[in-house]
Amino acid sequence: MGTNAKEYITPHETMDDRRRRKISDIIFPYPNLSSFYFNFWNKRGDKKTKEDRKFIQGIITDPDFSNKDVRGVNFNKIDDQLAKDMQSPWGSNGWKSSSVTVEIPTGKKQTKAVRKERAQATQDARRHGEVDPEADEFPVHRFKVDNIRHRSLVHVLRSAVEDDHSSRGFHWHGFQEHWQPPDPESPPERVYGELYTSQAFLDAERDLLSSPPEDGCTLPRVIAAYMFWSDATLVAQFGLNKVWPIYLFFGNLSKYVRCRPSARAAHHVAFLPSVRLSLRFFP
Amino acid sequence: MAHCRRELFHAAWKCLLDDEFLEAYRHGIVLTCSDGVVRRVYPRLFTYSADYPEKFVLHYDHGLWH
Repeated sequence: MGTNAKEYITPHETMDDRRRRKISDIIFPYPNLSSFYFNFWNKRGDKKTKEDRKFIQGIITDPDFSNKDVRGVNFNKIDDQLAKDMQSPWGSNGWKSSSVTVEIPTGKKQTKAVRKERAQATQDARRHGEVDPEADEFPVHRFKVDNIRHRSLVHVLRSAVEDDHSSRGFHWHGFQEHWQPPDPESPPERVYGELYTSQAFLDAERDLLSSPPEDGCTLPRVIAAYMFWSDATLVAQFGLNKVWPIYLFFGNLSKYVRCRPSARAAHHVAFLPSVRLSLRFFP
Repeated sequence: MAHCRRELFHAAWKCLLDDEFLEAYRHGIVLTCSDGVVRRVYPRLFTYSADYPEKFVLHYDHGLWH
């Protein structure tokens, strides 16, 4: 196809055969290339520019483009499938929703009278078959927090390494960096700057490489360095809408790349609900 | 309130550091990197930045920290 759209799906020229994927796999869930290009043009932004016009001209005049292929394709269904990330083994891009139970002490002082009262209550309850005998040692309130949105850490790693172009800059092996001061007499100084030049990384790598490998596995063993960050954040300039996200960065990437917003190196792994909201209905 | 927040935080981490992650932590996962090399990748936690003081207890909870 003589359009620049081809660049978007053609694997990078330096990738070898192991990395090469079938076109049908890349354009999933589109049934054929013509419908992929057709919808691709549609998704290129709301405002159509002259460049877009040239783009669609290139597509529809291309000998590989067949209008028969586009006929009867349900694009709404394809949009739904794209949103669900059907191809991934985890679905929904690895996001899950969980609820947890949090325990809060009642704050009652454990005096003799309180303990007696509690023992009595437990005994009463047991008689009526209401509680299990393995009750708590200390009296606690329990409350359930729903809707903790979190993502599989393995899925994030997989997508960052396999699909993301920035992973080409990953440093898989640690090293030490030294600086020689101008005075030739003085010894070189160790320079710390990146996670993969830190002692912690080198130690972890040494431990990994000195451990026995998996049975029959001769692949190179490397470390993916998870760096987490979290802080409650206001999400609007006005108003009090707050989120409490947990982010993930990979320390294998140089900090000069990692910290650039355009590198898209930050991954969201969880959103915690507001405690105040969860507690509002607490007895 | 601080207590609740901390408890919630730790509970959420239990969701994150699930069995799937621990499996990958112990045995690694085989990935084809974008330079075309197939590697067995072992996830390791290195840094955790937050302004929340109770954060460190977290890692000991899961026995990942040696």
